[in-house]
Amino acid sequence: MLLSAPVPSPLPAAFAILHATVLPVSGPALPDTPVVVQNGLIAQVGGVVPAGLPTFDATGQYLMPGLIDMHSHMGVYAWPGGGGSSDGNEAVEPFTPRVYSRDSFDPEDPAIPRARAGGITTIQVLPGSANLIGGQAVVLKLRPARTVDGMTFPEAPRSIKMACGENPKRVYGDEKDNDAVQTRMGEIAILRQEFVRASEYATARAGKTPPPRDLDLDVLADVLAGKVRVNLHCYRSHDIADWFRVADEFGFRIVTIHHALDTYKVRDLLAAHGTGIATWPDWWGFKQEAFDGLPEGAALVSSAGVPVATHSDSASHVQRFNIEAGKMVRYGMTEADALESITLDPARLLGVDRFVGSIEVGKQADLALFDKYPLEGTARVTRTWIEGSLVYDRAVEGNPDGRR
Amino acid sequence: MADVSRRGLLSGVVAGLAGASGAAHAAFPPAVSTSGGTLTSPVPASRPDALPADAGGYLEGAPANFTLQNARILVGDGSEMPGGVRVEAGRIVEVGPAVRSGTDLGGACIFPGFFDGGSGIGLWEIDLEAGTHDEAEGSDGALPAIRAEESYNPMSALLPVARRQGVLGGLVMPTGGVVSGQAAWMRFAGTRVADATVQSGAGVVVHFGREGTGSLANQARSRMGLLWKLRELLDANEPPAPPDPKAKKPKAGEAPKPEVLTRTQKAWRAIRTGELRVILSASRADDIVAALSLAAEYKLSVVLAGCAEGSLVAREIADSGATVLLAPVTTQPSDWDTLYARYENAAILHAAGVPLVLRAGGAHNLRELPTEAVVAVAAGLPYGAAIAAACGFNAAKVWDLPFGTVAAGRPATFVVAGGDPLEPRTRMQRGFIEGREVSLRSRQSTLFDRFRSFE
Repeated sequence: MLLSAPVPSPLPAAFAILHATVLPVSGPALPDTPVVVQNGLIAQVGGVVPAGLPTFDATGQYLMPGLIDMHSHMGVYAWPGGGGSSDGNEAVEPFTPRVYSRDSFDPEDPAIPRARAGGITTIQVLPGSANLIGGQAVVLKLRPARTVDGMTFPEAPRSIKMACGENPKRVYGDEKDNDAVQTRMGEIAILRQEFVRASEYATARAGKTPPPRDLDLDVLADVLAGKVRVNLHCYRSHDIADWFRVADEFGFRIVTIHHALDTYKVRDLLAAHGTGIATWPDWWGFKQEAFDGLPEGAALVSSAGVPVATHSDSASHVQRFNIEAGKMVRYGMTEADALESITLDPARLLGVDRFVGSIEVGKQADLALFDKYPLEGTARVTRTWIEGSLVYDRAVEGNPDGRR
Repeated sequence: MADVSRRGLLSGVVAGLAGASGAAHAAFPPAVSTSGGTLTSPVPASRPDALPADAGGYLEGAPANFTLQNARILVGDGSEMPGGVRVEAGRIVEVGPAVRSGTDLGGACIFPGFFDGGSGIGLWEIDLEAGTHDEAEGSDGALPAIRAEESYNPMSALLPVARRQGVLGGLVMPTGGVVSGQAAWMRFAGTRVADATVQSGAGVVVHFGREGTGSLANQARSRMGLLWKLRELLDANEPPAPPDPKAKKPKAGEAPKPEVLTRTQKAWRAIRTGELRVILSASRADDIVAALSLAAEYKLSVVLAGCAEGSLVAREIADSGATVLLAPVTTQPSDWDTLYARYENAAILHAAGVPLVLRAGGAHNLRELPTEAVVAVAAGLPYGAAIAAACGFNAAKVWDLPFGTVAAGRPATFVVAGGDPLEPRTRMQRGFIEGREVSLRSRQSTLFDRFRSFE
């Protein structure tokens, strides 16, 4: 039985990639520039390659930092889809901070090798958006592994998924037996109620006689303490304003608004709150709150100084993340910003930009090698490395198939 | 570490790296409408920027005479040439290097436009708003007589969004049941269904495999039941044998009453005689084979749709002569019926000799058609074959449609693209349907204008 993809032999601990055009993302393109990898880190960019080092000739190719998708449900809705592998929404009640996407994650999801073949090296796996607070998210490296423990990104801060608008009220409002929430005002009321409880719990937890442990409130108290990064699934500008009001009231920060199709209307609010977005170049219209999505929205938000990550929310689109970035350019983003939107910006929003997201000395050697300029439609990844280990080689694997 | 504050509006294309078409990819200047990026041939200032709601996308009431020059022309059949296009009375009268007058396109690309091979555009507006849905009749599992264009909303906000990326038309397909109804080729302009309809009765959509099973009347719950039910319906509607010339003529007053057929029966008879095409939608390899077997058994006139696992049975498909409506990229091995879906599907089918018509599916993002095409090219489909499959040429061969080729004598239906029309960074500049320029603005352009500045 195949366990995920066949694992190509790792390269030696130190090696050099020669003659590629390096797109460091943190700076301008570097034609014909060597990159030296040592002990899983980028040891050198440019300069003279030390003699005797194993080399890989990448003449004519483009070397990028490994791509980062901060909105993935791979592993929690593993292929082939269906009830048996549907593990992303714990829709028992609209408030479930206690659950953790790591605990649903299936590392044998055949979508994962296909993402690696698209140059993806880091993903944030989020619970679904049925719940107002859907649970904790896990940031993973796409190393071939038999259990999720082989894919961890230990330096990544904790994170949590929240959601608002149509999804929670549709999931709960339509249920005859479970009418926990039916309106947006109901959603905000539940949210405030839970943060009131969390505030009281946090105070009590810090006191001399801490209360019995509550797994939900433990997490929310950590959110209030700034220890957990908040990812908010949200479309409508008025929902965004409502959630900023609640966040301001209780003193937590919304780090990233996901999907964010209306954020162009309130991009000044995002800039003022230091909040970024993760979005698609062109998805829209699938529900009312997504009907005002427009493809230039991301460029408008970016122009306000707000970090913009391209996200996939799709085990299919993530395989062609460079094309998603290319479409961002079609719709008004600069090429530099578009490349940043699939690398350094999601790294910043995940709080891992000290470790990944650009080709700089000292960062982890997560790299994607493209046979053409990555924003071209026919560009394909030929090799992907994670921490210096070759995890995808097109010459060996071709396009990975989708079967277990 | 890069400085976030350097983000500015939107200039700085990384020229040189992008290849030759950098100018065509120039980012939109913030003060200009989003209709088509940088125009080397601006729309005349006299034309109203905001269209009246009843314009149906046309910028002109009647076909204009005009000439465009200095372009790369993708003919549609896979070939290309430099030069220009001269249009008179709605038709192309001259194409190629000899055309050296008129508006200078500065090296932009003239191509036939994109034509989608099967979507629900116009049949619903918002996925999760039940009140906007008209794509699935669902009152019976087998409805060969109903017609998609009778659900089609020519004022749908989705149509200008597709048009803006050069998608000028498409095959609109009903869904639901095992026999969903008749698809129609539509042009994405016009205010009335009659104006938008290019060809009704383009084929009865029949679903195989799990997509065809369900609990409606005349629908079965399993694959074996589905084939049994289809055969029952086809058998029950066998056209009568032609009259026996040797038979005695009935006496006056004893002639049998002429048959009174329902519309459904008439449609089945037309299917049985091959007058009415069937569009057989199947994903799993064995479902494709089952569909082709049924078609051969009943001598049906067929087009295939779906074919996620078509590469496994490419020879059988090629031997059938059927054209395939294919979504090469968005069909992924994500489902039990598509486990063998692969990027090379389009390339393998093409190499086997199967004519392809590409489709983006769904309703909202037909503008993904160029992405479907370019990724198929990356996986081995020749570029010219991708153009023929995405730009109406192959479809026109099956349905005899008035688009798909930029050639003298053909209707002046084409698009001017700022660069290679398949490339992700390329924006469209102008579009024409039968000699009338169409707007490349959409509801999204209006929103952009409204929120571009907060002042």
